Amino acid sequence: MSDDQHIIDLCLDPSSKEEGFRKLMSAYQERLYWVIRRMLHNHPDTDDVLQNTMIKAYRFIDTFNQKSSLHTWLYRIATNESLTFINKKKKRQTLSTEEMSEQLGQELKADPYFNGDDMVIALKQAIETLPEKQKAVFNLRYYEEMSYKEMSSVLETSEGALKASYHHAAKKIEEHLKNYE
Amino acid sequence: MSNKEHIREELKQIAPILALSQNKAEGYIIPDGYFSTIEEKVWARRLSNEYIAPDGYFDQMRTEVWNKLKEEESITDGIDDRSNKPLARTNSLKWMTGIAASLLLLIYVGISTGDSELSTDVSEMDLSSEYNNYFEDNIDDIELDELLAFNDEGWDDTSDEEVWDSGVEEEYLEEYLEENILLLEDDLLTELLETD
Repeated sequence: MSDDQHIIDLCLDPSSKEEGFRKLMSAYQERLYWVIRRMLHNHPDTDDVLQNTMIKAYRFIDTFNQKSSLHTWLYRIATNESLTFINKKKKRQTLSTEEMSEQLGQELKADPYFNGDDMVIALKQAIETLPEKQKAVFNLRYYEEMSYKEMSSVLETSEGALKASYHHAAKKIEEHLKNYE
Repeated sequence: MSNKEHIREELKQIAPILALSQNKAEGYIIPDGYFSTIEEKVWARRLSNEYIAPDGYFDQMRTEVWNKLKEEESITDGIDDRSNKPLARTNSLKWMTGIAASLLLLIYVGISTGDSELSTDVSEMDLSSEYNNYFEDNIDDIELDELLAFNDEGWDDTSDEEVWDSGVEEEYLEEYLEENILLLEDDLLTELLETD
């Protein structure tokens, strides 16, 4: 039996649900943290969204139908929670994409939990100019090195559309980096 | 070629500068001990936020609400459309209608006999079946004034006083009052007794 299946079995049994959930957290908290952090950039927001992700997973584990893997299901929750968080935050702001990218650069430089060099900041700023969903596509492929098939399950989008989206995102970022050089 | 190698090769083709940055440190720092505390934080939040509706609650609630609605509907069906009016008024209207119908019969008899003799049995009166049916079907909808204004010729503008003056026998009126005394309201009773 795989580790994931063992975790699922424990979670679905009311007498071992707590044990199962703690195992699920131990197994996935760090991976999910990075998925979220790359979308939100700062630690406090990431912490908030990671907690929400875990709580949702706990509440809805009973409805997990195992058509996808546990890993994919959790990534989907984390991505959706991140997108929801970003959209809420955007509603409170009236900045243009370029202004948001500029603001991100300043925030990263001032962030005590960030020590990337200028090239890394330029990359993050370039990613920030992408539409939110495309940002998620790019991150899953570029940082997580996820297959299109798996991404299709996480983002509930066709593989063809994901491939086109990733290529478009990569080229756009490349242009930004060329200008930076 | 493994999946990761394939992804890196793909990126080199599309965006060579970007490919150089892949797998480079991202610069994000995690506070010390964060992952050893997050589990307890989430567990605590799970407890404080765990509002869970009992299994099947919404199905049961839907059924209960539906049953209540049906119950209320059946009660409402048994009540007259004017049920939102005060009950006393509704009862009063029914009494007045009954009195009016009785008076109408008296008037009809009085007019049809053409004199002050009232020897005809009411049960034998030859009211047209059309009028009878009409009254039975619409008795609640007919205004009292309209009932009082009715005679064998149909509806007319005869006033109340003219009707009273048309020759209802005192003897018959007394008999009627004896039979219907319990149905009459005080005001109307006083008025009837003072008529002569």
